[in-house]
Amino acid sequence: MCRWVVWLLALASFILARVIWRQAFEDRHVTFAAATTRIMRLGQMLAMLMVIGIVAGCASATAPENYDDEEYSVNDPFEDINRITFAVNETIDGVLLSPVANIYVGIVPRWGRERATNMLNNLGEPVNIFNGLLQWELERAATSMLRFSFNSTIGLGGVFDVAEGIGLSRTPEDFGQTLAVWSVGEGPFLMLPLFGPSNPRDAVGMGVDWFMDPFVHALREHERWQRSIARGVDVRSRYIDELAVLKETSIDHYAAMRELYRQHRGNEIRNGKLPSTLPIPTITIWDVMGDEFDQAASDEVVGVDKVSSE
Amino acid sequence: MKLFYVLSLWGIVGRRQTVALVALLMFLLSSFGALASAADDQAGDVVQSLGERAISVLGKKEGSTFVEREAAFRTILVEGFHIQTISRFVLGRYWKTATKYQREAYSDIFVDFIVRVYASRFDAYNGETFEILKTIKAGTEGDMLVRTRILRPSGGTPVGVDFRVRMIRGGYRVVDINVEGISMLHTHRVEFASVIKRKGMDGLLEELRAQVEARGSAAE
Repeated sequence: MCRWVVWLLALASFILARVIWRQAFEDRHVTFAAATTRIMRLGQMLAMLMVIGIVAGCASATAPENYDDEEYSVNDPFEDINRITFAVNETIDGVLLSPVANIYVGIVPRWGRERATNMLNNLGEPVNIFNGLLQWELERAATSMLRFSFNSTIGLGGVFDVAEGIGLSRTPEDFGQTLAVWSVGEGPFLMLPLFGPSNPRDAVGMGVDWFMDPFVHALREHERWQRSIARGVDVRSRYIDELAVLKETSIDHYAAMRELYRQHRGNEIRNGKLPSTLPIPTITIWDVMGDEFDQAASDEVVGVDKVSSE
Repeated sequence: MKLFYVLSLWGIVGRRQTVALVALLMFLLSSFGALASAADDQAGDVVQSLGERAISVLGKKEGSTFVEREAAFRTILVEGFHIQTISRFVLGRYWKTATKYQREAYSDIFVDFIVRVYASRFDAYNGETFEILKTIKAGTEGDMLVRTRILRPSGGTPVGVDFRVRMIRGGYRVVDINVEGISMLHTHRVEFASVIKRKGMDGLLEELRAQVEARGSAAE
């Protein structure tokens, strides 16, 4: 069911794209700005179409809680393409983003970096407010509202997170989470170029967030770019060690990243609450059966002697 | 107000009585909680002592090599975690299809792998402290979830870490760690399944060995 909707959507967007592309460029004397506006309009229509389609098609799909079912636990039909995109992203990260983040951390002291993080977070607060309201999470929406007003004024335009000091911690919400709360399924895993791990729901969410963000409309073109780049460097600089260790210690970097993204999003959607039905390792029977693996023996094997003799 | 109306037994009981009734209910519930808290404390103690031991290892970072710290982490991990349960769960259904030789090889290498990975991941910490928030029941198998948070020395946002502990042969052993809602057990399981799907069981064993060797040489 869900798959058919995705195919139909793909077809519809292709036709729409061709129509609008022709509209944008058939007139030879069209200015670049006019063409851009028309393409933007195309983006808006596509985003809306996607939202409607996914809500209609995938909302009814229920996720089984069976962790032995690989179809569910790894919903990744485009794995081959995703792996290629991941490799490209990793290369871009290795030659551009990661070095820039490292230089940033090297030059700017922690105090300065925290100010930048706070300011960027403050610019993101309106989106948190809107999505909090759309999810009818009134407490979180109110928290975001208060944070935005305190930090923008007393916090000198968000440079200082004074709201945190009075117990108003950040409550990040985005439209991907809103769709999830509206019981839209996540769909297949997607590795987006530059943006990284995602899925149709969160990709649509990202687009919608862009349009609902008042700062996107208030800022000028180059300011928007500056803000996006700053946000990229800021986020990357905060996870330098974590990402390096993950890359080193995982035997399948892509699969580890995919699973981390999925679980991280799940946690964000639940707003940090525990899942109602905790996934339980169903392995107690093996404790009785297991003769091949002896915990006591492994205790002996892994004593200090063995390590020092290596 | 709907809830209050229901609590007042659909208007039969007056406002004041309802408040008293709710208070009584809450008192009863809390005393039931006290009965269960003996087990909670035990589970919490296990995590507390594990955490303290790990932090004391990190505290001696100045005068110790990574190999020494890794050996200390190994003792802590093997004593505090139930590696058998973890290794089986992580392999999932592929345990059934593995040959006897593969199972033995897997069980041998898994301990080394998990120690190497977590020693490296944990060794990145420096000056962190942790506090136990509460212990709650998790699921139907008698697991307890010890919720803790790790406080950064820089005063940044604390990291929420939940330890899932299970009573195994008379003692509580850790079977999973959840970092900010991300289960390490499930992450490894999906990762392993992905490797097995592409390279087979022997491919997985090779990858695990390669990882253990790479971390070993990195430590020296």
